[in-house]
Amino acid sequence: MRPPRLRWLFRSFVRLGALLAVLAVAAPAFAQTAPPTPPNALDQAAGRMPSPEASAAAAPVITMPVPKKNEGAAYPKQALDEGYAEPAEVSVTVTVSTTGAVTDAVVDNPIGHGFDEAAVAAARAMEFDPATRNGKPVAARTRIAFKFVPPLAVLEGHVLRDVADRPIPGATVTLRDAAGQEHSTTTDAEGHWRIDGLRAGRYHIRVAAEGRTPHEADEDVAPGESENAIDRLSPLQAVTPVALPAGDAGTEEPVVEVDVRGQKPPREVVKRTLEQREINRIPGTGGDALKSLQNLPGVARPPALSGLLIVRGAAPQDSVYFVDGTPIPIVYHFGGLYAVLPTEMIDKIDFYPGNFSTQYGRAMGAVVDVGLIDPKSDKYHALAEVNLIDARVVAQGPILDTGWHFAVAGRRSYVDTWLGPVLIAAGAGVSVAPVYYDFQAVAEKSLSKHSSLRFAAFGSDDQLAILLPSGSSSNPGLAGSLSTHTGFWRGQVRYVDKLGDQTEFRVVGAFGQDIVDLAFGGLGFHLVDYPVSSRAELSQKLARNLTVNIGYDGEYTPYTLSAVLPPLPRPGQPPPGPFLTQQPLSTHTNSYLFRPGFYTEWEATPWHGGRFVPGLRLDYAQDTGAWDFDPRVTFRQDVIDSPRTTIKAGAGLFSQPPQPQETNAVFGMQGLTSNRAYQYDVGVEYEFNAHVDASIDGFYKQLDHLVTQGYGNTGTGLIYGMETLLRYKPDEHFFGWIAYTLSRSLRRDAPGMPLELSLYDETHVLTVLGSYRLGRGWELGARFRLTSGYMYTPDQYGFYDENVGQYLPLQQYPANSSRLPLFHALDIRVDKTWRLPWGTLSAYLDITNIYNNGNVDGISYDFNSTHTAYTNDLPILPSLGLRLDL
Amino acid sequence: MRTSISAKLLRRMAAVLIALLALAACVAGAWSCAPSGFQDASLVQNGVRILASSTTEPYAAPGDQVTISVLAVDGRTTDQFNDNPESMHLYWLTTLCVNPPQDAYYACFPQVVSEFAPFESDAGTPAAVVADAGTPGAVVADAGTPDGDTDDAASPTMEGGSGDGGAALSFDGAVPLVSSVGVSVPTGIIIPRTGATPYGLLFKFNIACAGHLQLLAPGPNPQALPIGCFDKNGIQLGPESYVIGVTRIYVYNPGGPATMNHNPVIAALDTPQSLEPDGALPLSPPETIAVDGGDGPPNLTAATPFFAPLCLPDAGSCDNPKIGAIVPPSSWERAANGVGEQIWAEYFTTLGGFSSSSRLLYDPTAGAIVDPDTKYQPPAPPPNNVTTGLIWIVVHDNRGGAAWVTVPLKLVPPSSL
Repeated sequence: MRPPRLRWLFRSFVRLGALLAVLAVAAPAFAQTAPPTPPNALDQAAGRMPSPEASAAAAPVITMPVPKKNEGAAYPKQALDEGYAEPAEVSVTVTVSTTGAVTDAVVDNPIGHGFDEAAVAAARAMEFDPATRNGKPVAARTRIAFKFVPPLAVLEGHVLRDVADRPIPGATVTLRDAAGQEHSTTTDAEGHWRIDGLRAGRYHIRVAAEGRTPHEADEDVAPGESENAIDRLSPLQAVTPVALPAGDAGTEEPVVEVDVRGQKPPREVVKRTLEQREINRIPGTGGDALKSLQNLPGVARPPALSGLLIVRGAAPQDSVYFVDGTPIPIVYHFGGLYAVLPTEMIDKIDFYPGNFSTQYGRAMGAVVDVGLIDPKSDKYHALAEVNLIDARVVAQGPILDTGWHFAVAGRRSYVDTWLGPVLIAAGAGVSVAPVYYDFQAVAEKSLSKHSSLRFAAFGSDDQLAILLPSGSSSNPGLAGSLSTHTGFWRGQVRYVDKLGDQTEFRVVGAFGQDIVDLAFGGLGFHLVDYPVSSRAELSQKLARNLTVNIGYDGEYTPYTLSAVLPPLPRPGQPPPGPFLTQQPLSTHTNSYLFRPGFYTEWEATPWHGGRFVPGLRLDYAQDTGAWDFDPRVTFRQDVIDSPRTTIKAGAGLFSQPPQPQETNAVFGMQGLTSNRAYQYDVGVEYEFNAHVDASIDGFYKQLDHLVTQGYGNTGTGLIYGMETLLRYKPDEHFFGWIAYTLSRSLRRDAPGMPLELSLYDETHVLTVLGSYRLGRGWELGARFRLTSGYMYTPDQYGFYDENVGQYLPLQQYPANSSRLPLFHALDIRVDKTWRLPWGTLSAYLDITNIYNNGNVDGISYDFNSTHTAYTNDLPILPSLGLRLDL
Repeated sequence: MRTSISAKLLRRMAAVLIALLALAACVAGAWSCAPSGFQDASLVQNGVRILASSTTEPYAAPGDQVTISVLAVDGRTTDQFNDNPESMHLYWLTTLCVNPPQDAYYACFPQVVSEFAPFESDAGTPAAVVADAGTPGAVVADAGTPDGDTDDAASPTMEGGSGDGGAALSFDGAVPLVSSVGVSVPTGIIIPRTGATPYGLLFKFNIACAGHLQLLAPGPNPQALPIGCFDKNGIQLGPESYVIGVTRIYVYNPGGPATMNHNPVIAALDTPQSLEPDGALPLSPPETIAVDGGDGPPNLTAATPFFAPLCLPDAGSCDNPKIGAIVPPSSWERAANGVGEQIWAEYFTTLGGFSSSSRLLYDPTAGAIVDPDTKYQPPAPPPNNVTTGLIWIVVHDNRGGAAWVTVPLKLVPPSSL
């Protein structure tokens, strides 16, 4: 018998020899593809395996473990998260038992980024036919090499014509990666293209179509993700008109544009964007851009000519309007006639009905952000439109060879030319007949491939001055001189710079003036302010799936206010007397509002199809001396690929400082803080194809700290509901949608007071609309609306004010206890377009309430409120317009 | 014709736009947009009404003795009167409400209820105001005969009331009643006001009721006054039988510009149409009618009737004579902020109507209105062949000043005019 030490040496040599033999056999496999053929390994029971020489001598039959189940290893998420998107290889030594199971797995050379863990997990999941010696299973070790290849990406998009939005088949799309390798494809009949199997990185995209100016752009694509252009495309470039097929000649718009650009999911739970064609063609709106918002889900039908935006049961003053991030004070001429921005100057409207991003603040309701057009650069364009109310012109094009492009527009009403004499004939004294105008100007230049500078100016002015010589029977003293003048202008600068692959900087600054001048008899309100607003955002991509946005959003507004007015009544209570004869309060104030806001938002896409956006906003209001701290979060997750289904949710706190008059030393109260709303949203979006999508959203808003005149921050409220939308996005012929909203809006002015329906509660709102191109330049659209009636507080026989000679009604308690009858109306719009050698001429006829339904808009009372009658909304009302495009 | 259609369309659009503007004004709460079909407020023919009230000092000073006079009219229809034959009374509530929260009259109601003890200053039979309107110029308003007992003790602030009788009119129509009550303005009433000159505010309530008053069980509405008007059978009467009047008196320290406030003066009536007492057209038709009758300001009576043409069914179109109150520029006072008063006239009648029931006389900024009169519109045809009636013109300013004139009305054949 050999001494033990020699036995150990022997065993060691045997093991070494066996290992070398196995390595020599297995080496070619390692050099090839993964997983490699398992190399030989000796059983731990050294001595039970013979040496090669011994084996050869004894001729034992040995077989190595053979994989029978190998699902491989996925490219680790950690690596993608860390921005590592390169191929990798990890070698793992596994121990295979006599049953073929893996009992141990050890990484030979760890490389991190999650590859090691992924390899071990994949190895442990493998199953083998065990090694055998002379036909009997034996335990064995073997080595597995896992090769990781980063997931490939997909780029796809649509190539469309401008204006007509018609697809361009046969367009050539060429992608070139950083190494210069090119991939090409052509668009199908729908103008769609798709290239699979792309490695992550930046691609230069070139789109060319016969007769059209090629367009080039860069697009980043991440591993395993699909950048697509299933959303509508914005116009980018125009080319010479091309000949159209026979039969279509003379009916189509001549300008053709192509664009390829994907669109990220929104930061918000609900973001709705209206496109030019929809804005232009929605019946009943007269082609007015902002009126088109009233057809979206969540938006209630406003009182006629009120110009109010009532969204998800919120008060109109809880919603805010921006033009490219700059707040504007009024939206409509004369409270609702037409928007102060003509449709032709609007590129898009982003509408956030609630739970919006932290980039917006100081509002509890909705946000409307209107984007002005980017001026066209290919040649000069002009447009003129006239209707029965106003006329407008738009011109745009390049500014010589400076690289700058411009767009200018102006509009003026001419109702004063005929309404003035009519009013005079009716007995009114007319100093200034109703007149309005607005203007817009934009100049833009691309400073580099990734930066642009834009200057814009826009404004609006409305005036009216009349003298009413007669009072009414119910309000005999309400007569006299009445004048209103409201106007504003803004000068705006916007600079956008993509500082690098991962960084973008955007700043918008504006300065302007607002004027509100109201006078009635000896009472009046005169406000002039000079708002300075600024908004800056730095967007930094920290990792492939994490982008942080940091921004500032501030307003500084010096103002002069003179007012002689009766005190503001408390909500739900009648005024203490007739308006004109209450003892007026006077104030003359030179002061300022300073409301800086800071925000951050983190856009994380932690996994495929998921998006998680937590954010935080910090606002200060100098007039209240208080800070507001608003955390918000939204979440989206694609759950099904076809139809593409996304679930989404959001929650957040939204603070809104008191209105300026509420903190005024004379008319308001001291010690107020911001109104607050806790908003919760859940919803599902379906995208059935490139044109049809649907969504359903539930919302719940809990309001507190609401400012109640005469009480303080005592008000509370509750708003909840559901909004649905089935939408067919514009294609060659048709667009339309069905929107339905079910909601409830409740308020309590102060503890102990009744919980009552809000004035803005509108239980059911159904809108069905569509527009179809019939061919030969004809387009026919229709809109049907069915909504609940407005809330109102009935008046009853009450008291007689002997000082004025006017009855004072007794208002029913609690307020808003009754509802007007159901509203329904059908609106029709017909458009006809002629293509002429020198341009395009189009005409439209927009008929509101075509079956002349006597919809109820309000209640009127006789002089002592003992008899009532309904007042009706607009009767059948045609609107006719002509438009010329050059 | 095309031009005709265009013009028509233009007019229609003008009408629509005006309607839109009016609708916008309605939305803003500026105007009441009463559709046609409501009873004309100027026609006093459908219930108990209060038409006017005036205080001897629209702006009082602490310690002043002021008198509040109220013109009420029992304008119930025959049917209404048959249902409840009780005559109209004007009750004064004893409460003198001082500086209620938010200057709101309804904030006084708890005090009104707790002190409920109404009294009449016109208890008894209407006085001998006889209007013999059948003879032009013969209307005599003897309104100076108080015939009621006044329960001065009911309120420590009462200086006594006087009831000027309702008219035992010979014509069909309303029965007017003028009632007055004295009020002692408390001292120390003036309190500081944010954004305004310090002032005090008094509320005095009265109720014209064709029956008697009773307290009601309080309801849920804090703005309701739980006092009802009941007939002798204990049945609560409706709006046609009562009116709750609210009078407010602002009180300022004397000497300041804000205290310069007087009732407007009605110098005469502006009307080109008038007849001699015998019904003949005068050689030089007067342009005005004197208003030297009655108690004197604020309760005046026209010296001669106002004659208007009968409007017969087959007349085709009828003349609508002008009528208006002449208020001298001296009445157009300026408030503390330098802005002029707004002065307007309200028109009421028992017969017919007006082209406008309220006309502006002075605008705070524009001053005197060029053509401030209204036009009387005779009924076509006169109901029940009634050809006599009354017209009341009540002139208000927006600082609580008021005066009125009672004008006998006579419809005569157009050929007489």
